Amino acid sequence: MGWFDKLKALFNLEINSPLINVNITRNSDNNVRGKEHFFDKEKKRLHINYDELSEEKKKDLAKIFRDKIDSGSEIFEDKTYILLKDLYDYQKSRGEDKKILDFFFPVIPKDDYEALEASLYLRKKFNERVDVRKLKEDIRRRFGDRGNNIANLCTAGYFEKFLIPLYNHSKDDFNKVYEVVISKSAMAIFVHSQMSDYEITQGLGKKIDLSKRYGLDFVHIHGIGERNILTVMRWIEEHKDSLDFFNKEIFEKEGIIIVELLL
Amino acid sequence: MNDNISLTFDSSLKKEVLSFFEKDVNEEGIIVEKNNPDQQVLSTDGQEVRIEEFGGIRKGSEVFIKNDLISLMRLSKQ
Repeated sequence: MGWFDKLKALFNLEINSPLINVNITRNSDNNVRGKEHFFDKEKKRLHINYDELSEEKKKDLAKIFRDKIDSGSEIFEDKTYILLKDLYDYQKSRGEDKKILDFFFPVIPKDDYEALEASLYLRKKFNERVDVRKLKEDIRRRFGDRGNNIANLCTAGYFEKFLIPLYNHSKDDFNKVYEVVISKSAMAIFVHSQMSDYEITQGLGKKIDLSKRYGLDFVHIHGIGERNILTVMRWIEEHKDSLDFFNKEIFEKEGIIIVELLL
Repeated sequence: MNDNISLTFDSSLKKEVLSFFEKDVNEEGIIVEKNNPDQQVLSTDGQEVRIEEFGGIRKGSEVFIKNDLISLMRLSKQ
């Protein structure tokens, strides 16, 4: 008898409709509050309410979990399963992202490649207007500031719009600037919600120095989201005099602002 | 994801699910063997697993799955 047959026997369940998931939940889940189980026909999910189970049933449920693992399968936290499933789907249909990954695979270090792969997924979710804070934090935790830079640069399109053309134009130039672009995010400053005006000014000064040193002829200031756009706009207004030294272009579209300073 | 029907649990039930497998969480928040608290469980890449990172268990000798993007991205390619 397989794990699901045992589960059905434990709860005397008769399910004749398609089922894709059994989720163990608690009384806090409105679907099952006060009930031992609930079958959501529409979502094809069976919810089991752990809080309503007798001690004996909890023991039997524990055995079913162990049986599932022993039979060569897996169990997942609900949110983890949803992310993993989405990643499986993403692997199958990466479209343009695959071309970017194929290009960089033989060109950049293995860890950078993995950070780029994760960043492309993050970018896809960002474009779908999903909250990507946890994904970004995962990249930063695993790859540090370097990973954070890769995520920022990737989201802003630097890999395909700047690094690929640079590599195709001159491998030497690419090799000369890649490290400084990735490790220090040389030609771009990404304004975030906790950044003070002083930090923006200091950060921009450093990026201008770095870019000039490595022969890059521009620096971009990026702001994503309404709050950051307002910060960038206000900062530009307050630093109008010093910015007059540069030729500058401002692009604003769909919740993103990019200020390009030509050096 | 071998079965047609997946078995999942809410985040709030992590400790209960760990107890199904005779696992516990030590004072530092790391998952350990209930009968031998000095022995930490290991993730797919051989690291300790903190309770907040716990995302599931895989076939074989109880390989613990972390719930971060990179661990899951690697798993999705296997």
